[in-house]
Amino acid sequence: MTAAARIIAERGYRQVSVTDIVRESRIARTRFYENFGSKEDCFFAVYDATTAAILERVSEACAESSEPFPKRVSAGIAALLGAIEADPDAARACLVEGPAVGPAINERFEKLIGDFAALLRSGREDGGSSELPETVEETVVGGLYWLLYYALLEGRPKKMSRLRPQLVEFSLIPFVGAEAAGTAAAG
Amino acid sequence: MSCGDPYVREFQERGYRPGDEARFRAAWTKLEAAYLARLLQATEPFSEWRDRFHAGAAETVRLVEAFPGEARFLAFGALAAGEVGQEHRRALADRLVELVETVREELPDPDAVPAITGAWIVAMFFDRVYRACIRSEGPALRVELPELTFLAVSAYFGTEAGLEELLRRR
Repeated sequence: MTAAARIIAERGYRQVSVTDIVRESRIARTRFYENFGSKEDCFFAVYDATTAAILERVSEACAESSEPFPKRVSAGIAALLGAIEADPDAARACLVEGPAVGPAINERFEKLIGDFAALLRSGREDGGSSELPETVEETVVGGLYWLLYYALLEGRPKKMSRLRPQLVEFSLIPFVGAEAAGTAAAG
Repeated sequence: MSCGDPYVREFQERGYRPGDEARFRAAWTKLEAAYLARLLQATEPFSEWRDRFHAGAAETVRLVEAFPGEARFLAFGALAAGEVGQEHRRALADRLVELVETVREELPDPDAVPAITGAWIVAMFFDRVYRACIRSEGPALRVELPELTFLAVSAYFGTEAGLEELLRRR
């Protein structure tokens, strides 16, 4: 799956064939089909494994911190960017090439946004933001997704950590206000 | 916003195929120009940024509802076209960011707001349009309009101003 992620990240989902994946992975074609029914199946295996690993890393970072909500969000975003930097091919394959798969990815995409929004929502009570619309967390996470998409599209996965202060600030402004968000972003 | 381009219909039915690039680019260019013209027309009457933003967002929502096939082509289908779609989608996002960033003329200290704020707002809005295009059920995009305006105003003018805007638009 590492080889599949690498070649999909490099060339794009549409440009890669099963033959390319088999060659890159140095396995027999029959072996590929023992594990996956198609290129799409293989991609979904990469997607599911990568997004689950990133979500776990972010959840742990948020849960480990006994700090208030802004600090937990900051820790979660740092973990997210760290995970992308640690495996930029898998991140690019999923975040950038996921939408290139077409309608078959939709359910997974919605779940991904929903899972991360749930993490953010868990701190809503701490932020005292009961007046906010119910879907703010999903909207914030959706915005983060597409900012990361463009950063990866431009081929700068190694510089993701530089985005941390701004992503933290944006994620927190609706919940704790600009001043507290700025403080958390600077920390 | 309908461009009447048969390629958009074909694209909806059978997706992007190798060899489509020239037709894809032509259809995109026509649709993008039509969308931006409508956007400028909708925002022109307003002098304040908040009103222009809301009018532009409302017009986008109206167009997505009125022309679902074209909206899907621009927001969702283009990304399934791979590199050519990603490139066009990026250029449109950059143009929208420029329009959003005109807000800095109204800010007392324009440099106090992070440089990527416009990109973040466009990314949030795009996400909502994208998800409205891919899902078969869920809240209508129009219902989410006050929330998007709240987030945009909050990002530039602070949460209090954002909440005021939210109450005004509900």
